[in-house]
Amino acid sequence: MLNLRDAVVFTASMAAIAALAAVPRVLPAISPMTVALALLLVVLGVATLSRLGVAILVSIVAMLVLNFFFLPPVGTFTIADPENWVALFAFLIVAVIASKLSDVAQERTREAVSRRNEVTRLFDLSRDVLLTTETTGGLEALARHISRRFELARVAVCLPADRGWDIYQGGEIPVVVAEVDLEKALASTRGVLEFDAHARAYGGHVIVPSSAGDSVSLIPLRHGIKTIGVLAAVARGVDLGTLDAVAGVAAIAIERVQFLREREAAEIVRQKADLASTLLASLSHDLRTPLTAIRVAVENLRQESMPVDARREQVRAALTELDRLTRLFQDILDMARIDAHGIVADRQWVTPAEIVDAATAHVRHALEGRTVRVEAPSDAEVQVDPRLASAALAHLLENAAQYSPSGQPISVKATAGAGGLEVSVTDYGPGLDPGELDHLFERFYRGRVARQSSFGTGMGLAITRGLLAAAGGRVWAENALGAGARFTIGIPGATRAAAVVE
Amino acid sequence: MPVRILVVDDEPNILATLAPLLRSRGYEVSTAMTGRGAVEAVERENPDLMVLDLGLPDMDGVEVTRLVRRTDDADRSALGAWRGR
Repeated sequence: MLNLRDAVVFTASMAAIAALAAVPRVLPAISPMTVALALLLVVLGVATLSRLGVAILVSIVAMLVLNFFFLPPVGTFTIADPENWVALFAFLIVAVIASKLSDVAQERTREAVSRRNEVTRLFDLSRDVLLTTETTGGLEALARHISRRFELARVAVCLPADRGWDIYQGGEIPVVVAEVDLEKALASTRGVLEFDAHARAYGGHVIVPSSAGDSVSLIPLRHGIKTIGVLAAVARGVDLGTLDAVAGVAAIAIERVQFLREREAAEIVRQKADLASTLLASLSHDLRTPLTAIRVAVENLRQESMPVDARREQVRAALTELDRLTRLFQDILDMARIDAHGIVADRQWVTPAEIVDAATAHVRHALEGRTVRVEAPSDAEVQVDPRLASAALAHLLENAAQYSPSGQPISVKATAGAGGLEVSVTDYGPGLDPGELDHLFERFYRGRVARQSSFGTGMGLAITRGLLAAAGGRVWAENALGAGARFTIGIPGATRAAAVVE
Repeated sequence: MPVRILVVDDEPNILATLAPLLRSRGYEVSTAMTGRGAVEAVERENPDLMVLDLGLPDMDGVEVTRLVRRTDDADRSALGAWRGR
């Protein structure tokens, strides 16, 4: 097949030969030897620029033209002088040699370009791999990068797993390869590391037919002499050496992803340890204070000389601190159950008023001396877990009391609507700092006021959120216009008009 | 003359229980709930002993001790007994 380049070169050479054939009409005195050299130059040019076949064809035409127009007897193809045979062979030999040399040079250039491309692609791939910091999806991304950079429509990274193989497909078309073949490829390369200088590749490549009728190259992914997996690819236009280099980069990438995963796991462990020590510090204070007060109060009560009023005061102090301990234990218990996913919602028909009543009763002591304005219907019922809802609300009430000046009222508004139960608690304190909103529901987060004082474990809102999550609900915070902070809980559930009590 | 003790704690129930206990043991007891209040009480009442909570709303116990030692009479240092977190 003639390609465009060959066609152009051929046409141009024919034009040049025709021009040379016409020369004697213009310059009758020209020597045939001059024309012969000029024709030789044309043949040489064609051989350099085009393929061997074209060059031979042109050299034959040039020889015929020389013979017909210039060699005696002119006007015939007969060769009278045997010397002219030499000219003929000279044309052919020049054509062949020049063409061969040109082929070699072109081949070298092509190879250099392809090497450069390979290096560029490998570099791009390494960069893709090094810039990846995600651990989940890191291996899928690796396979995709290989597919994209090397234009491989079918390529997969295959890693042996506890059971079977994890296969990460990178191209548009999945590579189908039997696990038996992967096992074989892996087993044959383990502990073997030989380099084939000609193929520029380490040994251990296996080519297997796939069920789709293609041959799939299985290239070991090596880390040192350890084989950690197999790169499977239908290698069209990518040679073995390149695939081997890709496998090398892939092996490093896999190691890197595994390293990142390990680091992430270590970070989680560290955070858990931090959490535990925070919890311990917080609890030791929160447990010790009430225990000290109770212990001293009981000590005081042992003194029979103590006046009745003073004894009452000691009993009150002891009971308040016992309440506090009870609540603290409830918090710890709730937190543990949330962590263990041990909370199951038990839905019942209740009125919003009942939920609010239960919650306010639960945190009576915290609300002492406060006006709580309640707006909650008792003529509608909603299907929610009353314990979870009231426990969550109790935390919000406690919070409102803690974060607003004593003496300020607290507003509670409950509704049973299409979205289920919604209860908002509004205080008249300083409100929330904008930067706080992201951290409010974090465990052990305590607001500015609480940090300055010693109350609160910082578990309340985290528990609220955990309890509500178990009930399918949520809690959110905002600053209320003309008031302080407003926390609202929403729990989805069916609603109906309350049954008439007879 | 009885030994005078200043009890400093922001937990009202600690004050409500600890003060009667110390009084019943024959001490003269005054109380404060903040660091600032403690410094003022030291200046005013010149107690012999101070029982101090380390975690106070306005300043920590170390800061209170520092202020007290600076303002206290040079001939007698206040003794800080801390109830730590």
